[in-house]
Amino acid sequence: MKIWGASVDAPSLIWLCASAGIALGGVLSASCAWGTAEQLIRESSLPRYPAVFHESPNSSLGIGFSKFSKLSPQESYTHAVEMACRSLAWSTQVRVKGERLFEQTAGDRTESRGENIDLLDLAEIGPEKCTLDTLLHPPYAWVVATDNSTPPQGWKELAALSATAPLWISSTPGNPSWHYATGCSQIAYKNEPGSWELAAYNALVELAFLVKSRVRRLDKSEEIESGSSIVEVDSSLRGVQFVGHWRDREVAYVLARVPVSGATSHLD
Amino acid sequence: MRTITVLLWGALVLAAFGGCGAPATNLAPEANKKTISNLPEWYINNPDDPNYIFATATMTSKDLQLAVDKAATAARTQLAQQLETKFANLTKQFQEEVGAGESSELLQQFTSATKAVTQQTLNGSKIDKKDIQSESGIYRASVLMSLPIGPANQMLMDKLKANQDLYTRFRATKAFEELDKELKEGGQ
Repeated sequence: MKIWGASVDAPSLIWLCASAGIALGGVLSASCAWGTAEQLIRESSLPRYPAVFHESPNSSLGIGFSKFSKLSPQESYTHAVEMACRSLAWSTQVRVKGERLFEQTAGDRTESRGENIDLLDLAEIGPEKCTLDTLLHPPYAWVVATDNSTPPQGWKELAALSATAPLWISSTPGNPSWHYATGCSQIAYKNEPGSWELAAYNALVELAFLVKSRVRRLDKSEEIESGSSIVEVDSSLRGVQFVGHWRDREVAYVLARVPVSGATSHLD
Repeated sequence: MRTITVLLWGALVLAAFGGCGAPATNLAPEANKKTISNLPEWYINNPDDPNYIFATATMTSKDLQLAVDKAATAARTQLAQQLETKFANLTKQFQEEVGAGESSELLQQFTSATKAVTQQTLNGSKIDKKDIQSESGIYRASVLMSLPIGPANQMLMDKLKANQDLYTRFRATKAFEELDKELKEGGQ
């Protein structure tokens, strides 16, 4: 028999086929084994978070955490306190003002052309103005900041986040007394606290857009047609609560809410 | 024979590791059958509620939040356009009823009232549902956004009430009946 011009006898052909089969089987089983091992590792190493992170109580509080370093423990706590105070400040009072510019290009695609959003009139909250409680659960140092009230009981109990996504990830809760919004962020391996904070910030900004926003289309500018839109926001939020946290392998999600009576817009 | 064996082994190694390369990410992939089948049911069939207007949008980005922001903005733009169309229809109805010749001033006042409301200001535009898919190195965010019609209707009614002459004439039209009915239904 001839294959690609070379003559091959029957035993060689059998050997050839057997080798190819073994190699292919090896590649396939290696990839399956890798998948199973990866799943096992993932399940056994689900990160655990304090109870307050799972379902926050019905009050404004700030949660902060930072990678704990034995060499500089004070620095770790300082970072966590700063994050907790920032979170409490967002919860207490904040004015979200700014705009996002988008351009609709050919094929009805929308491209971001940048945004400028500021958090103004923030409540001044520092370690001296709130009650702090700490928890060391390596690799993180945790801090909960409350506004002159005792931190919720049992907040230090640790548990893994639910393996299945909570309903609020896909469907925003509805309640006539509250506005709800979710924010998300890709989890940065080296800075998980930062990822959670970014997700909380995104939820906060979405709350502000929900209260009132203005869409201005810049359809004609100096006789040149463009499909640009500016979405403006200027909302004050009082009493924001970050009531849900969840993550999968890649993404951190935060659910925030603000009482309807605590949300006002400054747009005309 | 040895050549063939080497070639076959080479092909297998290439097949095994061929996927390890990192091709350039297409940030705006064309929608294909998989994209469409992955879209949530609510994307195709918007909810039906007379007290709300709905818009859906799907956008992609390498950055997750940007994909969500883009989809939300596209949906908000659609909501604003829908609101504008709704009040444009009301203006047209009013115009037909009062007659072009009767009072162009009244018509102008009415148009200015609707414009004040539909300066594309959205009160309570909310992401009701959100879906995030990861496809070939990018994120696709799909959102269903809703806007309650009540506040916009109420704002228009208040603006019209502020102008006594205009409101008196408006009350005698079917356009008023329609707006009033929507307000009452929305308040239930």
